Amino acid sequence: MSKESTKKPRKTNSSTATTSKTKDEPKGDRVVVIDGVRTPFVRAYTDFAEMTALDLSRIVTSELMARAGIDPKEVDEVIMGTVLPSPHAPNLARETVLATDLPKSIPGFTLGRACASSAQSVISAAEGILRGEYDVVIAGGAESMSNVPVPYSKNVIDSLMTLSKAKSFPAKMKALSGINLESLLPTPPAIAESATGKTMGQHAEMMARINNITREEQDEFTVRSHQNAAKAREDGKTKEEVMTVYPSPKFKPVSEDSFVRADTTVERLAGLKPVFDRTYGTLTAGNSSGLTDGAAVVLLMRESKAKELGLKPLAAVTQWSTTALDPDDQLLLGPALCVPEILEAAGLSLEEIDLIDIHEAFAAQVLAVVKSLESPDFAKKYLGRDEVVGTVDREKLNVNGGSVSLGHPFGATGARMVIGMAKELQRRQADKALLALCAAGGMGTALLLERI
Amino acid sequence: MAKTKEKIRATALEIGTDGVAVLTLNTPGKLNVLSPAVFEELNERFEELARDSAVKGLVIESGKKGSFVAGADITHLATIKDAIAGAHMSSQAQEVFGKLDDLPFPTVVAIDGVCLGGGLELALACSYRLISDSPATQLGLPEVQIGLIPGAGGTQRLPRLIGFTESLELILTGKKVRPRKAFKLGLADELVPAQLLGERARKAVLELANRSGLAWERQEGRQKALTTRLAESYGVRSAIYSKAKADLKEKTGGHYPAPLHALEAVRFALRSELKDGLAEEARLFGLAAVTEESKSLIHLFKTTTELKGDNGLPEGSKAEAKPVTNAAVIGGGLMGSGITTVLTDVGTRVRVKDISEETLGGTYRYLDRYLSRKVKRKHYREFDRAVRLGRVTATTEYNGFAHTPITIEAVFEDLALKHRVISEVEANFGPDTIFASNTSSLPIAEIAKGAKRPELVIGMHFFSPVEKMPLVEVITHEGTADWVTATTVELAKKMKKHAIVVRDGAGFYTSRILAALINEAVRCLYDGATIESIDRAMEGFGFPVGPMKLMDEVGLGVAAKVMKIMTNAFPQRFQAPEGWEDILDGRQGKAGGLGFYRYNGKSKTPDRSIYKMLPAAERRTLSSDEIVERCVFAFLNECTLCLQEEILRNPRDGDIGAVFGLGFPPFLGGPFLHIDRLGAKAVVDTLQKLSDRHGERFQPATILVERAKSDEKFFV
Repeated sequence: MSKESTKKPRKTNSSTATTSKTKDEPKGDRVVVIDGVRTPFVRAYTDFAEMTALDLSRIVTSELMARAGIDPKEVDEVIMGTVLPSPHAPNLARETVLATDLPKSIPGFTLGRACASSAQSVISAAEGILRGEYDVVIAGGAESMSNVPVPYSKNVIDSLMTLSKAKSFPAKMKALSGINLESLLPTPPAIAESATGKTMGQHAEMMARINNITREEQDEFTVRSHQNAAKAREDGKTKEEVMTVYPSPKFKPVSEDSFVRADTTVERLAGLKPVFDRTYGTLTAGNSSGLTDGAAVVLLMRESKAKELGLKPLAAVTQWSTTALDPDDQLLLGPALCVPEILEAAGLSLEEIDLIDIHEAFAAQVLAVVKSLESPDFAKKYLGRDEVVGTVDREKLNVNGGSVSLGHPFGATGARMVIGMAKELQRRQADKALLALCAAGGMGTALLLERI
Repeated sequence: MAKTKEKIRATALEIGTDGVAVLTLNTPGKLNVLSPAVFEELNERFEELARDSAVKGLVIESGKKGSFVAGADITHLATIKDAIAGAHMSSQAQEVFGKLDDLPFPTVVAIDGVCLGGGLELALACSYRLISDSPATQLGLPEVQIGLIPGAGGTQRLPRLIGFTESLELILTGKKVRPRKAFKLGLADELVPAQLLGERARKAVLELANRSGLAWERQEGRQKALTTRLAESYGVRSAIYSKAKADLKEKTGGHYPAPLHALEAVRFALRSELKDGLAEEARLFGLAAVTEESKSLIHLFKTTTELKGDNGLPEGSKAEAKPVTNAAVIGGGLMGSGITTVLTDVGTRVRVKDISEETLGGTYRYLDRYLSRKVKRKHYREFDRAVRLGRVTATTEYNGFAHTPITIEAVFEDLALKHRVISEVEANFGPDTIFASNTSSLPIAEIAKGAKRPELVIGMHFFSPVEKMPLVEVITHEGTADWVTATTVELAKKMKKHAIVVRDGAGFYTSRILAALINEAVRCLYDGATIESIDRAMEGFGFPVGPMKLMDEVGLGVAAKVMKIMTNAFPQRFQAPEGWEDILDGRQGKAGGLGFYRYNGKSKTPDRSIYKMLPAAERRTLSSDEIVERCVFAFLNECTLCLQEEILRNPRDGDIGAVFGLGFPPFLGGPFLHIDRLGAKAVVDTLQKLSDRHGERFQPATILVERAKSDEKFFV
């Protein structure tokens, strides 16, 4: 396992790593998923209202360590993703190390790649393992939308700063005079893209129009998402990856995802009003993912280390790629760009993939990505080739539901997908699962998991 | 160049060219302890310093990092023969600190770590006190906790420094104060970051020395708060004194004279010269030192200290404890929650298994309530709470247990259930997981019969509430492996419990002796005593809760179960009187609202309807003395039977078990010390008399009869 062998040729226009196809790769040097666990994904301001992202992250990490049963000293690094970090614990990963019984010598770092953050945690862990830097990594993410920091306006902050420096009474009064009632209203964090000034929902709305995606299509997709999620719950699949959380202050057990509606129908969804474009829009609260609290973590290892510890891995993380496009274009189309990169690097066709998992920020966005993958125009315009990427077999797509039905804690969704697909590969005894996420700023991230 | 004087055993003295003398305390052993020899040495040091005209000031510090002075040497205190000798010992110590007080230059003490008893009295005799902000720093005068009063000037100098009310609070309870509180009280002149303490002390002493005149000499320079001064005005002082005295009598039930002696001493401090006050302190110290209460409390201090060094193994066994960094608790009810709370508090990761998520939620609530109290009292920060909560994971399934060195089972007292849990543990845990059953009465050998590897099975009997009760009874059956015993005892010690190892048998030790007492209490009830008179009598004897109340609190179902086990094992002593089961029928105890008492919200009244069911339907008055004699002697006899049958390894464990597990009066030191005091012969005679009057069950234990003949004592 020399460091040299882990240095992989990279394509110049992307960050795709090609790792599994090299012939001289020593067996047992792959990056493997041992186990993973997540909290239930819960509607913001409900059961987890009093839990910070750190609370969620330390709880899920402790549970993962208990389940894995490995000596905490084996862990080399903890990597967490979060999109709206709390000012009280900006380095969520380090705080998680300190707040659990992990050795204090594990450093911990926290990263941000918008909604692909915890997918990036897994990728960063994998890269470190391949570099020979780590053997064992806890990677994941957490988000508490119930505890989003809401700052005062700049005006108020400036006045308070002046006040703290003011020596005399008149100076103090003068500083205070800068604050009026209106300015005391907190400024909620912007959900609009800074580059475009549009909200993500407005962008998705635009994508629906460009790709001719109807309200009915979106609602049908939504129903299917809920039905798949409900079925996974019924079949006991969800229970394998979701822990029961006892949230303070009441410690009443919470064991189920709160968004899943087994009984939802297209008719019922049709009754909802559009939210992002009230006049001409097609996106509703029903066919969009909702504000969610939750956390998810994955235990990753070098394959030979897993063998040494006598652990049976679920899957190997063999390919990954992140791409980006101009936000003014189709903001959430990223997956359609990174999926072909992965397929090319792995030498696979889309048809050879057994499970496809695409993050559902909006039903419209998933449908836009699927249509693009199957579109010759898209292939020509974005990939500069004639043949389409492939056909997305709907039976392989988001088989256990997605963010629309499960909820979407920004920083935890990527890790949720890795856990879900790693376990699903084992259940089906299938070989390959392709995961893709869109993210703010026009980014897309994809990963390939292969069953062991 | 510093001139270094030759080193003596317990202290080192260095005098620098700047005229600052530094006296470093470093007595042999882990902690600095003030023995008469150390006092003698200090005496020489202070005399030497007084003669040295080059010295401008003195700094006193500890040579042991993070620990100043733990107090006086207890073993020596136990040797005090009479009040005169006690008073003499006190005046000698006073004299030494008097010499420190009289030194003609400023004296600065630098306190980092525990500073208790004599250590604080030494600090009080200095002119300036610095304390470190380390969490290990604690100041206090805990003498009353071993039945004594501060005897080296503490009762006189403390009220002069911090005021009457504040000093009473410290001296009468013996409680320790943390740095911030100590500074607020005026106990310290400066609160200094631990890393700067030594340096600051050397600077402070020079600053004081360079002040004009004798500004450093008396600490009265610090203006006492108005409320403090008000409290010291004669009328208010008298009122506080009377109130404190009444409270003490109420609280101690008249069983503990030391706080009353201390109160007298402190009162004296405010109306007399230091010299006279010290003389009074010495006199009162002498009185306190020879009380039985003091000797009993010192006995308990000594025996528990000895127990700490005991690994619980039979002599010659070389087995070693395995490290326990994580544990499983099966059953998240009241006991399981308490055990989980203590485990996580001492840094052990716990995975709790229960069949119900609701129950597991209750486990977290129990833990959180405990932690919230700590946070509220500022003992813990929010972060500490989060870490402890985070150490506990909960599950309704058997997953995540593969690497668990020990599992503590706290399910219902039902043999079949425990057997089922054992087989589940065997299927889901590693092959070497210790199975510790928190049973109060089921024989461990019976539980072990359900195990594939009975050598891993052991009893770990906790008492409720676990976070408060300081005892764990570790029960070994014949096949328990020595390393299993060692590991369990070590874990109990890590949980800050006194761990006594007892042999398996019905009721082990504590439940068995308690059953003997309760059994006799029930017979008193049958003989015509009222429910409340029995409780009152036993509380008057010094038990915290009377036997009838106790049964209600434990639950009559549990009590009946234990009694049945005892009856089966020892029918001649524990056979319940006729009609007993009819009385219990429909009574659950406090939890169900009806036991021997009827519970209505917070109030309770004895349920007189019981009397109609008894053969002696008429209540006659059994005197308290009669009730106490019958119950206590049945209890004492059962204790010696446990020793005779080698359920107990030694009388020491017997005293610790009875006091810390059942609340046997600490001022009596334990059943075996009590028998020693009464004299084996007197005990045998009384038992014989009771046996003649009430039946065979009072037949004295053979070892008692033997001791009565040889006049041998349990403790020398």
